[in-house]
Amino acid sequence: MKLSRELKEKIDNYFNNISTDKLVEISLLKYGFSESKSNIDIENQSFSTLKKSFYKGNNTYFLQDDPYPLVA
Amino acid sequence: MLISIEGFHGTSLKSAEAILNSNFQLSFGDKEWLGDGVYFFINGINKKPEEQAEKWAIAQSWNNVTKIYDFNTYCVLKSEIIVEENNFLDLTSEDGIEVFEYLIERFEEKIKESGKKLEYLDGLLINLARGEGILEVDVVKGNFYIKFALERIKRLNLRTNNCTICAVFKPKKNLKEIKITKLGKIKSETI
Repeated sequence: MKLSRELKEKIDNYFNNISTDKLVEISLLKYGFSESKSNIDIENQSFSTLKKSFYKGNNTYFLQDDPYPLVA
Repeated sequence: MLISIEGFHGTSLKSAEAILNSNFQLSFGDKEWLGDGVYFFINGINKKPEEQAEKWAIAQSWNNVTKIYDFNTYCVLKSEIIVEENNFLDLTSEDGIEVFEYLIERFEEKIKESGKKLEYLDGLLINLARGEGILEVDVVKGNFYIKFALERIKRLNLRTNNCTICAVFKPKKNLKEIKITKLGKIKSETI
């Protein structure tokens, strides 16, 4: 099976013609999807710095700012 | 173009008899892998699919709740899987992954409009795509990490795939020449 133009149109056609509410309804009730338990909503997903947790070996943890930008 | 694949299915002798009488109608597998189909080990990243089917049957015999074997005679069924290329979704190939990723992209776009977040599982998406007539899939192929007895006992939970499997959704249409190729007794030392 390849993503031919016809197949792409068929996929598009389905999603363009089903309402959002209906898709959610059948996903949950007919096909057994479950809602994600995560409540975290990150709008802007690019970060310039990263917090890391280091293990020092004496059973204590500390946070340190990583000065290096996160490579995407 | 027709594609032919040799597949192996491990199960109990009792189930095998029912399968042979019903052409696999009673043996639908885990929807979370590749959807609601009959599962076969096939030649792929592991070259001994028959051995893997045997190991699977042995692993499945153990009941972790009752701590006893649910069955002590297992067998391996061999079948030829025949499928039209256009109805075969190969998730070990670039073409197949492109189809699947496009499906996920469009699904996710639409779900996002509702403000809800769903847990996506390969098998559920395949079930939805088939059930809603989006993809005319009869057989799906994929690589997976499957835990057999030793992996379960040693609690190995790796991410490196060790099996290539096929899910067949229409056994009557796509399975030919089903026969028992291996029969064995389960003993504790087998595991």
